[in-house]
Amino acid sequence: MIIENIEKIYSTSTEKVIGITNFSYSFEKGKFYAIMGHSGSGKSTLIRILGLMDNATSGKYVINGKDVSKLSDKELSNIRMENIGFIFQDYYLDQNLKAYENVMLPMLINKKIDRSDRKNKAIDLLNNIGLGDRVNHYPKELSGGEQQRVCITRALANNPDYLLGDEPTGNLDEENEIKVLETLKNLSLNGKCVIVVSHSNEVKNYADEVLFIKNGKLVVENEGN
Amino acid sequence: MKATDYLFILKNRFLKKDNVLLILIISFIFVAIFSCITMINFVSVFRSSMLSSDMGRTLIIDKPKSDDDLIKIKELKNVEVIESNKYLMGVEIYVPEFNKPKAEGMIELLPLLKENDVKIIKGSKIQNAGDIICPKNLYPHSLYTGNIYNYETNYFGSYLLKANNLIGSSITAENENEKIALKIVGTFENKILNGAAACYISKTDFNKFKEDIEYCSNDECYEYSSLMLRVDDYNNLVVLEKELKDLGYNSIRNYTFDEEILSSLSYIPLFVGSIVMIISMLIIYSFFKKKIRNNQYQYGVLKSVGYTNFNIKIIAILEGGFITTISILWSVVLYFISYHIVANNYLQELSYNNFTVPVPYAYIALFVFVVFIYIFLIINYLSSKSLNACIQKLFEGE
Ligand SMILES: Nc1ncnc2c1ncn2[C@@H]1O[C@H](COP(=O)(O)OP(=O)(O)O)[C@@H](O)[C@H]1O
Ligand SMILES: [Mg+2]
Repeated sequence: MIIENIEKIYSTSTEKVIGITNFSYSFEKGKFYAIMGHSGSGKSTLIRILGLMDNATSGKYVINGKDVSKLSDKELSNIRMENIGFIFQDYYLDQNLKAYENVMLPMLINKKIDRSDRKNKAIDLLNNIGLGDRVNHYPKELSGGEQQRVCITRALANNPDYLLGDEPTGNLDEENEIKVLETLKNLSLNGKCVIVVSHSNEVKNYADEVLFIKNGKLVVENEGN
Repeated sequence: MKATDYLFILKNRFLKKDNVLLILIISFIFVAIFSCITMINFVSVFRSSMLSSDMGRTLIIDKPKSDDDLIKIKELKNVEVIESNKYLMGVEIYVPEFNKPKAEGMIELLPLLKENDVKIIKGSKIQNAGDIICPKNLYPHSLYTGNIYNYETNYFGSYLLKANNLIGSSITAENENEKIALKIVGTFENKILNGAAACYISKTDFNKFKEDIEYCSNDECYEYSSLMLRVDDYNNLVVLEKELKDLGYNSIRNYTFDEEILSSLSYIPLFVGSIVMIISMLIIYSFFKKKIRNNQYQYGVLKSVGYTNFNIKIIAILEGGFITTISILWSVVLYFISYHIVANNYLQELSYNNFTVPVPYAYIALFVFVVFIYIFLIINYLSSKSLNACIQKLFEGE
């Protein structure tokens, strides 16, 4: 993922608000990035743009060698499906579906996964993340940490290269936070690009690179521990 | 995505509590609307059936002042029957062979004034003296005792006689004037607004049961003198009335409608129906608005994992379509149940007169179609709106 001079300006009826501005960076596979900054500094804006959930006002964004600025909704959706997984602070699991069914959701639109393989694949992924005994549970029967790991598994369903998390540990206690961060770290060691917004200092222990944002601008980047 | 994939996502949502509640609310509202449509339709069908029946096309005028006038009247166009007023109303007779519980053997005899007044469906037409033809569904019972409606008679349908099976049999007709043997020679299709107990005999036979005397007062008796004129089509009634007036005769319609009562009969359900309709549209709108707002996070997640806006809209529309379809099916069932309860318990007099309150299938279908379009449009609109908002929602945490 390479972004060059990205700017996002929100136009409300009364004023124009800068989301991020003059932002350039290159995110590589196999690395764990932490994004830090005060509330309102533009972290979510950056994640939305990286995740193709919103488009930048100006600037260039290339993912896997493809410039995304001129793609249709369908093409963008396809890139999200194949290359990007999202992890949310509030998990947003479908309460009406079991854990494994939640993991299957992204597979339903992936033609590369056989209809008959979906369920086993979802169960395998849940096994890998340590939820093998929770596959048939509904989200409300799971703890916060377990739900977050289901959420991560869902993000991994189509085996994307990039994992984007907006405060994925924001609702977790320390023990679960560490579990989730370790999981994410392992994924980056296995070749994925993991980009995580966080307030907590814990994340610095795992990140390869830490980016600080202030008022929409990238102010510091430094090596993690 | 295939249909089964959409079902996979929706399967556990269809029968969630809020959907079931909505289905119940919508179906009761729809039953109310269907009933209003039925009533509006009923009033107009009732009016035109009354008018097009034999009686509805009949005018009554005073005795012609001269033979010359009578000839002129007979020459008027569109008149299909001119007879003495004596033949306007039938006579009630008792037939002992028909006497059974709940059907006590009373039938009404009418003179057959014109051969094609009835359509013979089995047997033959009236040929000889003593021949009688009856409606194929014959209910030999008077709903009235004197002028009072007999509310006891609640088992109408099950006591009908199938007159087709009676062809060839003889009956005895008794009233205070006569006791005559009649032979059932044929049956005809029940006529709207003829009682289900009304059979026809020839005019000559009819004269045996009904005297020429219309009424007596102060020891003086008067014969029937006025005339009944039946026009071929009720649209020609007004013309005939005018022509008679030009000849110097005021005519009286046999059926007069209080048009004000009739129109209020259809305006009230129209008014109630419109209000119910508007309220229901608002309820449906606000419910789906709430529903789609609740689903926003889910739509956002689906978008984030690569579902297109189109995929997500289909999901929203399928869920709404399911709710609507079940509501409509359920309301149709409720409607027919209530229709039958009402028809069997409160509309006896109408069905005795061979008039059924019609189910306005076409209007109901039209309404259902409009509802589907409406719900499709609001879901389309609301889900477009939520597809823009859902992304922000997903990243609001903090
Ligand atoms: N949809 C929006 N409309 C207008 N302003 C927005 C919108 N989303 C974000 N902003 C503004 O952009 C800035 C960055 O927001 P955000 O990316 O959410 O920051 P963070 O996630 O770091 O708290 C803030 O000033 C915020 O108010
Ligand atoms: Mg944020």
